Amino acid sequence: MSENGIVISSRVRLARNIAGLPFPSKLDSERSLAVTQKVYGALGKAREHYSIIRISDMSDLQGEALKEMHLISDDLLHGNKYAAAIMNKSNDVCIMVNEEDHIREQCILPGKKLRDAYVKINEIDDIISSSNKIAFDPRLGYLTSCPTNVGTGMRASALMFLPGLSLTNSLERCMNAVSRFDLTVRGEYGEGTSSESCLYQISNQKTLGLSESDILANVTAAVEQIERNEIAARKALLAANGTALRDNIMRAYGILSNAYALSGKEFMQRMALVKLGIYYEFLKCEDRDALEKLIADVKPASMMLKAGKIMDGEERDVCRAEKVSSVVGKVVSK
Amino acid sequence: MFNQRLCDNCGKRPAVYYMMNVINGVATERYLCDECKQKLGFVKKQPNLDFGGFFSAIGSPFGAYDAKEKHRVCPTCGYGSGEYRKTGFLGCPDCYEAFADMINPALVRMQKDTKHVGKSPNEFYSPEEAKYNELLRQRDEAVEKEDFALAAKLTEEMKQMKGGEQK
Repeated sequence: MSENGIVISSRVRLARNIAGLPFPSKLDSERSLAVTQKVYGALGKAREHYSIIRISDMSDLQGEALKEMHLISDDLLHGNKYAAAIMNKSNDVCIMVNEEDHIREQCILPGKKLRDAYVKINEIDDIISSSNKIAFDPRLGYLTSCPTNVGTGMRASALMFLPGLSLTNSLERCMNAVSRFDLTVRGEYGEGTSSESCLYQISNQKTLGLSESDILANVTAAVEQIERNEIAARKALLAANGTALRDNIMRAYGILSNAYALSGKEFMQRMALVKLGIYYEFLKCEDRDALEKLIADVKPASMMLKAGKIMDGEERDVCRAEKVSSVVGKVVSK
Repeated sequence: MFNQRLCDNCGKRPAVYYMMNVINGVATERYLCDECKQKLGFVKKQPNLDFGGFFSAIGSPFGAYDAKEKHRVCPTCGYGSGEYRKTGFLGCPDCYEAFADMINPALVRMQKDTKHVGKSPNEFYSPEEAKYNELLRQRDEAVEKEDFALAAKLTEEMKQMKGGEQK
């Protein structure tokens, strides 16, 4: 997480395909397995150890938990049945095999580290490309299953926490200000989260006609401008409505520290306020990474996987509240 | 303190999905509920998804449908042009050449340019393959500049290289 907690994580993804083979949706079982072996085999030369999980060997819960961690996609879980995920020990590199493309290499790092994420995944890309002939056209670049990814095959994105811009309804105005960069902004709030989480993903829209450095520079410049606007919005929010804002933050802190049952939606809404309270220094938190980890840990599948059992909604809410109070309880009011 | 925004599409259910695209300086913003999000095709269920609803909402990014257009198939994988129109996905790397007339205009609309300027895996190609790729790139450029004499010369050179490989 960045110093001010605005950029939560940075991710770079590269889409690649093996030359001479149909794309995964048209690939038979024998060749799908061969692709998995080729990719996993190549990673023997990597500096880190990689382990492979085949979708067919994965329990539903394990699959959902990996999806909640943004390591694998829904397409990987429900597409080609010979799909697999290859991950390093720290889970910051995950390679999806036989998803929409044969190979989807991605690196996710905490904080504002797009360039570091690219360097790391580019090294993996070189290793995979050195033992496999990659589908590439001199004019169109890396050939991908969907032409929206052709060229660099690269998507660089940052997950941003933007309560200031959300609460002041100025997100659209801010995005217009960064309109010279072709961007997509997504707020995705699956089960267990809600729009009140104020989380947005900013990523490049175009992949062809720009180099990898151009894409990184554009997304970074946009992220930095949005970050400056978010800081300005937070100042404006405090100046306009300081008492009510602080009251809401402290109430949210009180509830998260003491609740007996918490729904995913309520948790995300109140957590956004607590994080804002830490930013304003109404609250003091020694370990902010633990707060980010908590957000991932109390998602439904991750929670059930850790507990080793299937829980109904009520049980999950009780379990969530217990985990939340143990972490938020360590946050102190100033 | 948070105002619950309603879905832009139905105006009834609360929005749970937000998406903004900024393309060529124009921002378009959408707030959708779960049901409308699925109805408009923003959720991918399987690789061969039907983009019908999605395209009707945003136009036809992969080329406008022409009723007179003949159904064609990719000679390498047998994938049909109709399937590409419907799903936006291709069957194999060679489909880019087989359906170039449909894909290239779409790339002009969707992408920054139609020429790749980034990384290439060429350092891992044999010198012959790298040279062939370079000739192909030069030929495409010649065709674009309408220098057909040069294009023909480069095509001949490429043919010779291919013939040489087969011997």
